[in-house]
Amino acid sequence: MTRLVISLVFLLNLQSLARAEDNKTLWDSAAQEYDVGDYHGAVESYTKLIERGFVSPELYYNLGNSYFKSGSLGASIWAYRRALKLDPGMDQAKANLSYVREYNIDRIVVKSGGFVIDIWNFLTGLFSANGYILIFALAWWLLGFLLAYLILKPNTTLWPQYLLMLIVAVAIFMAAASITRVRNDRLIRWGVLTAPSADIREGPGEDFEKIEVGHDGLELRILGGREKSYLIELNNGLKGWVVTEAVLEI
Amino acid sequence: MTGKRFAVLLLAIFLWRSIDVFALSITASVDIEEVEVGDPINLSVTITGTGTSLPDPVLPDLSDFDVYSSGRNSSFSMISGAFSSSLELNYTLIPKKVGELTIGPITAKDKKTSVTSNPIRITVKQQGAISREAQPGTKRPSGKTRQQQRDFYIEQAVDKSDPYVGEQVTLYFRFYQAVNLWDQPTLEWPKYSGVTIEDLPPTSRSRKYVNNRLYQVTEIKRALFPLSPGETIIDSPRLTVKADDSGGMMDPFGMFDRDFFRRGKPIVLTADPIKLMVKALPENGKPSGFAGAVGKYKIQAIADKDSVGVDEPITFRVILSGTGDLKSLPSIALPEFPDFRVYESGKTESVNQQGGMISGSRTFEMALIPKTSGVFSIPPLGYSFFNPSRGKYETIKTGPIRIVASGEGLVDVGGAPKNVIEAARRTFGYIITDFPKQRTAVDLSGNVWFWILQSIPIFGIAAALIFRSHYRKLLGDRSYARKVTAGKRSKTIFKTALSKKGAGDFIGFCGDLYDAVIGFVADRLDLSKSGLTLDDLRRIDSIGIDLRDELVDFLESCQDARFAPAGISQPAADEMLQRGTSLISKLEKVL
Repeated sequence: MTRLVISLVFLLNLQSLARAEDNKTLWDSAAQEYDVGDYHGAVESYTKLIERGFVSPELYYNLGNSYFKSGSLGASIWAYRRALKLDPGMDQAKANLSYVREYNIDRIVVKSGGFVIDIWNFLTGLFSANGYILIFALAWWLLGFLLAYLILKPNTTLWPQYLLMLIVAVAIFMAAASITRVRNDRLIRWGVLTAPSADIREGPGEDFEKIEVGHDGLELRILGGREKSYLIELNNGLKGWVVTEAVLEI
Repeated sequence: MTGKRFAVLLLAIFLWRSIDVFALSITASVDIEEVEVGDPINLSVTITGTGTSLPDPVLPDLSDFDVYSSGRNSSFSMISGAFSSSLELNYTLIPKKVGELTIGPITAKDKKTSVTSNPIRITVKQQGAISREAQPGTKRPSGKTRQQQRDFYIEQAVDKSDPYVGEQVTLYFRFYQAVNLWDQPTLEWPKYSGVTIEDLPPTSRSRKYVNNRLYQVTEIKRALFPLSPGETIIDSPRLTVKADDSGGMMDPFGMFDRDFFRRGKPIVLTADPIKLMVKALPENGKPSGFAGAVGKYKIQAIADKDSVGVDEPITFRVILSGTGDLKSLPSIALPEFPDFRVYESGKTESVNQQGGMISGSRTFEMALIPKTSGVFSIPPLGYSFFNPSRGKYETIKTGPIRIVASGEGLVDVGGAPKNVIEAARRTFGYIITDFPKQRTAVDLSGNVWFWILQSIPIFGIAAALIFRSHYRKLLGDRSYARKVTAGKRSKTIFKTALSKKGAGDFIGFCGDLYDAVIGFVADRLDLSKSGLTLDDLRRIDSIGIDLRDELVDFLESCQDARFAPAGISQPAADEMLQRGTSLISKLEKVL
């Protein structure tokens, strides 16, 4: 019995090793295709890796590059955002995402919510959700230490109290920013238009009035879906329905 | 001759006369035998016979003419005891070609007889071959000159015969009328080809003598715009008039010339066609943006506001005004407006036909919506046209318009130019070639261990609070402080005792042990150490009898050892130390 189990484990390991070897071969061939300018071939190879269950931010980053070079703006944005979902701190993906966004035909100009909201949006867009959580954790620990210090040494100088107020403010802000980013990154369904253009209509179906036309690369929130259409919302608050086949969910 | 015979003779004569009168006859005549192409000829066909019903004539092939029926008269009479009736039919024939044309025999047929008229020869000449003002060679049945007989005629003329393509040509149509009309005339314009037409009201009326005859002249003007170079024929209009010869004479000396029986007869009038030799627009000096506009124009660009919010529309109008064929005016080639969304809202025309020229304005209107905030400029707009009066091309321009847009809007339709994108794609990024490890996203927000770790500061703060509370109690509560510090103090004394033991000072060692234990008990019970006696200790019930006895016994042993003359041995000291340590441990648990 023991021998049988050992044999099975050995076989499974062998299979896993062989699969890993196949993935590496596919990875290398995708890189070669990219190097010789066969970007469509590279996209195909990277997509095969994803279909095999291989998950890696580097894979999505490379796929994003291949998509962009093959002329698929929306799909490249989708791939970079996938990479950042896996590794929010991946600088290359961040840089390339902001770069390719410059080529969007539709650039959302968000209606100003006022000075405070603008500042808030700016500050909560500096780091990933994990980044904000880590900063919050750091502030939280500092707060704990400082509070303990002040409890144990209450009749000390004023500077620890000022520092305490500062750290409390930072911790509160970081907590709020973390909640916002977690909500944005993980609780909201995001999508990107990958069709050259798609009508945004008042309802699901072509019988409804057209509100706007979106183009390849337009990022949107998916609020729901019905009858082969997504109910979407743009960053400017515009809501409408788009056919599902024109959208890739991130 | 008897009366009966005379009556028979009369009947015979009557019958003979009747037979003669009953014969059907037909005659055909024209008012003129020599005409120019397009001139009308009045053909009159008269059929006579008996009875009230006469057959209609059967016209021969008249394909060389345009044939119009112009009236029908019938009459019935009894002459010399015989009944006769007559039918007169009038036709207007307009010859289509030059040459000797023949109006063939016209036939009338009833049940018994068939009669035919004589053929009539008509000489048709080219336009202008016969003088219109004086027709000396024209033979009329009455022997009159043609002009004298013309109570009406029309003519058409143009102000220029060699215009440029698109240049206005004014066509003058004039109706000369020497007698009053029985009815309103009917004007039928030809179907023009190769030109577009605009009427130029109003219709003007004047009086004019032609060959000493007074005419009322009605003039209608039309603007023609040739569409293509080359020969263009302006066909004649047709005016159908009905003369009223009964009165209202315009020429008091012409009353004797009138044919009173022609009253109300329709007459079709035509004029000579006009040939235009349309010139092509010159290639020399043609501007690159020229789209075919001909005339003389001015251009103006107007924005209804120069400061708007993003998403607010600006009504932008480009107005072309001047003289020319405004309806066919090519649109203005608008430049790209990269900073605006552009919605064409329509074109309007205002055409003025006064003064014999087509003039007016054409307005191109659009809504411009700034895509983003900023200061933008609507670039100058140019328009090229050919000015036929100067015979050269001209280009006119508007000035730039500055627009300030503020605020933020909806969707900015922009993007980088395609060539920039292509260039960027060529040099864009590199890929990661090292085979990565399979990785799942690290989601700190959902990581339980991470959040458990975050609870540590809370415990730290709690500990600090507890410690602070304890410390404050130590400072403020003497009995508590004694109780808490009793163990520590006794241990200190124990250490002193040990050092004394090590130095061989067994008396001091025993005294320290005594002090350590009794001090511990005094501290824990918050009693005065100096006043605490063994008897007091024997009354303590809270520590249990066994422990109390052990305590008293130990303290007595310490006293005995201190005051014994021989002192104690090393092993006895070790035992004492062990007993003291054990006793303190036991007391810590109960006190």
